[in-house]
Amino acid sequence: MLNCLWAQTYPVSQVEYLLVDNGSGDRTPDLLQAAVKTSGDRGIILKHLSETQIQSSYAARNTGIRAAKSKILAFTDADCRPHSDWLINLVQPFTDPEVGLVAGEIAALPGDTLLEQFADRQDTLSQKHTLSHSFLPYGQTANLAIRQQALEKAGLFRPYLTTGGDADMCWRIQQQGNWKLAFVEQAVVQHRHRATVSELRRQWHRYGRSNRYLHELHGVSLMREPTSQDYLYRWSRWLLKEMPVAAIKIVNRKASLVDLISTPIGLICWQARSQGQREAKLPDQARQIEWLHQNQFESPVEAPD
Amino acid sequence: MTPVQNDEPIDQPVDQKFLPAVSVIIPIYNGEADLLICSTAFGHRLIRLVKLNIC
Repeated sequence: MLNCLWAQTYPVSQVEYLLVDNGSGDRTPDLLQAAVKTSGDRGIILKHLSETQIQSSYAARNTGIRAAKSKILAFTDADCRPHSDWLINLVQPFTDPEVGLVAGEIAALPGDTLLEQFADRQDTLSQKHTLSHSFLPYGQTANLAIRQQALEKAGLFRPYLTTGGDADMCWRIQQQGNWKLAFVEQAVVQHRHRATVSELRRQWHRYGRSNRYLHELHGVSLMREPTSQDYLYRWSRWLLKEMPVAAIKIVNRKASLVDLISTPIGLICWQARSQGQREAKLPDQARQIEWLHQNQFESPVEAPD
Repeated sequence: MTPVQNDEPIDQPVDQKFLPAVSVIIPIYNGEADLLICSTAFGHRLIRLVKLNIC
């Protein structure tokens, strides 16, 4: 990640990088301090901040927002790899004063496992899914920029939320300030796909929890849970039709193993997401919104019936 | 003396980029693999756990 930041083509005089440690228990603080010095030697402003009160990436982002000196705030994650022209491309839509949010694209890092190839084919990480959300479009914080002015009315991230905070933030900004959301396909960060079934299940379980939270916060429709008839139909169809067809194509080199496993993996994802949605319950604390200025106070968001 | 006609614009930047001041914010929890690789001897499994926490 640090190499990617150092490689940005953005003028160093116009950018600061705020790395917010969210209570790491290892040597991360020491390593960040070393990164601050190395960056300084290169003329790059990189600051090491800490959020120790609340264990949540959204609380850490709020700490960064409060410390930021610029009017444009860009977000990515520590496990992402921004392309060198990421930042310069990401900010261009802000020439339009009505744009409050800009999402860039999230591409996959090359992966070897079947699961990674499956996710790559599905474009699991791509912003195109979130940008076409049936409620309102949103961008994932792995690659998102926000005009600070847009936060004045909408507030900051909900610091106790553990997932879904990016959608919640983008929706509040669009609803309360009528800000536009732009998408820049050329502003790319790369992220690795989940490589094991347990990682994949955890990822989709989290998507399910996010569904539930956004349902309770914004009234978003819950996803339909798979029934035993769904499983029976999908598994039968796969065994009797899809698998034999895919096997023949593989022998003829017209398909890959990914084609063979698409349906079972899809079912695993559906089941995990459904379970996450069913088991999740939004804690009252997670409704809290922090504000840019201390004298602001929360106007409660009505929960749907 | 007639000046030379030239269709090309003079001193016009072709690709003028918008370069506002930007703050890039990156949350970190338990460190990231790149940072930890040089700090741990416990290898792949620990790094993978850390990655999950960040996501």
